[in-house]
Amino acid sequence: MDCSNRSVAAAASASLPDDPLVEILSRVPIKSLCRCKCVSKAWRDLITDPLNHKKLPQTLEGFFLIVNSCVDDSNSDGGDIGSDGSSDDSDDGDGEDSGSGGSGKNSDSDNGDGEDSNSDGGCDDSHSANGDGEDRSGDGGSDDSDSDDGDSEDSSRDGGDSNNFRRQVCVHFIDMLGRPPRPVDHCFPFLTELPGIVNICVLDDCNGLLLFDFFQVSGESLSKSYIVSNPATEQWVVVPDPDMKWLSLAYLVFDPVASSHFHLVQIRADKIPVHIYSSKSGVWSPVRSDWGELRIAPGLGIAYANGMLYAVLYEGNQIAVMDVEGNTRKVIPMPFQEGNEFRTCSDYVGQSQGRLHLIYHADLGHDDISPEQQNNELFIWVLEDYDTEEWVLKDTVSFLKLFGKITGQTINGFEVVAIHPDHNLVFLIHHFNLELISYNMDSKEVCQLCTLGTGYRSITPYVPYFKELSTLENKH
Amino acid sequence: MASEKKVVFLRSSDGEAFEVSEEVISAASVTIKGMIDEESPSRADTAATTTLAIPNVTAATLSRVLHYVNKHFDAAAVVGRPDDYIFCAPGDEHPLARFDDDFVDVDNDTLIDLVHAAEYLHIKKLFDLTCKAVADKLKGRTIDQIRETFGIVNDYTVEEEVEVYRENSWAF
Repeated sequence: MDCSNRSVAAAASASLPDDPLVEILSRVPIKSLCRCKCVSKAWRDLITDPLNHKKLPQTLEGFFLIVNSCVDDSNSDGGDIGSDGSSDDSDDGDGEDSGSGGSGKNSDSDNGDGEDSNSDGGCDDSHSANGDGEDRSGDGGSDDSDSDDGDSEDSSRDGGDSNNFRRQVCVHFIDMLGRPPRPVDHCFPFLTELPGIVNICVLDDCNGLLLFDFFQVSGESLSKSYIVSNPATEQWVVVPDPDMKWLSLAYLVFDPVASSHFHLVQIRADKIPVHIYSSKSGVWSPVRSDWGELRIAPGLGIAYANGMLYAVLYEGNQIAVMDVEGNTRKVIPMPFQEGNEFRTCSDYVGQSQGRLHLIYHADLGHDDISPEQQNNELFIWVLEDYDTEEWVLKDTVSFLKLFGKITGQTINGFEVVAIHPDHNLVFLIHHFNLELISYNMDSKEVCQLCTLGTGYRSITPYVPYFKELSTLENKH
Repeated sequence: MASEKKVVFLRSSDGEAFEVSEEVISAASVTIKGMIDEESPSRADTAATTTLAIPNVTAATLSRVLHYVNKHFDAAAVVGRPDDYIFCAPGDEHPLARFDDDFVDVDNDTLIDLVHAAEYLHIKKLFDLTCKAVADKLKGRTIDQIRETFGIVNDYTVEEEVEVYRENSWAF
């Protein structure tokens, strides 16, 4: 066990051999762990040794970016998945692109699409899933995609509906650790192993696992399912959607410290809005929430922090706190700054440095006021004390600073995609240029990280988890 | 077979012998349980007590370990002597949480000796507790303090040290 470093570490740290040292280092926060790399070469080698990855805490490595590489069917999937505003926006963008270039010359727009997917760069390295490719066999640029396509049944579905599901995606990785680009195609084996999957989308991430949803075409029927996947171990499992009747959103809860099992929390537009799936029991259970008339705000997310689920409630300016079984523990008010009369528009809830963070901006509720009259700031709050419900305003930052300009679309035209788990760093996308930016709360620095491109579909922060899980049954 | 009050003696590296209930130490230490199981066929019919050599642990450390073991693994003692609960603060999740806090509130060398002993004797609860305590000490310390604590010589060259500091600058 861990013997590769034994001699190295023993030389420098006579008082403490490797195994206990790794055990000790596995119990420090990531920040201290990184500091420990500076202690000695032996410590650095021990910490960076892949053999110890399973034990030592990990940090944000980067983002998985899902892009459409086939935009032939633009405008078709806006409401299908019940996904958040971001993908709607990117679809709008696609629509404009193909609309402007393609009126009256459809074949040109197809060629244009082919160029787009090439110009995304690295599509060859990435994994792709093709729903149905029979129409595209005539398109010179996309012959290669047909090889992924095993679903010939779709050729009998040439009607308008099948167009909705024609979608090929590429997965890229945006590395935050400054490492060279690497292919990520092996991380998601199901993209080629599952036949007939279409409209795949990343919904959520939690402690190293990703939650996808997708539709599967089988003959005349269409089913929706979820996939929980660990890109680091290439393991995955399919969880069928219990009821496709309802428009729904789902979130993933996985806390390796508490359990090797995961939970899915599904929020439906239903009388019983919360359903929870446990990988231990393998069943979905309805949850009787007791926050009365209040509803979980669609798209605002549920965050898992310190063993609890925090769900922003629609119009209530409140946050429901649930355990993973869905039992409501309490409902806490959202924080307000003294003197501000505006309605808050929640942008993000998430965990960083062991505390729940809430990010919102103001909505003055008038469409006719000019951008200058708006409160053009983003507020970043921290739940400092769960028991006393004490919120602390950690930072405010203006849209001007973040995006360089303020337009009428700025107010709701951006998306907070992540907060760094260990740094005071927020990641955002503005939809006018689809640029991923980071904002550092300490240095107040704004950095442009990359441009996501027009095929941008979803972006998911990623902190790896290296242990294999028996609950994820498939392994490439 | 064995009477309930059977005891064993543990002899430390520096020759001091400590008496401990066989039942308690077997429940606590995988290593010692293994030693006792190996010994038992030869002593099954005798009333003689066994002495086990613990060559890797000093008397000072062994006495601390046994103090911990008797607190955590001797259920009869805990139930029978309510004064054990004076260590508990109201609201403590674990009745021995306060005891544990005090137990690891010792100097670095003592703590690291306890980590070694817990690992050698295979006492998982004590190993977890002491590793966590060392980890807590690492958290707030500077690089130099960590080197001092663990007796580590800085083997980076100046250039290498600049580079590794730069790579991890966010952590400072």
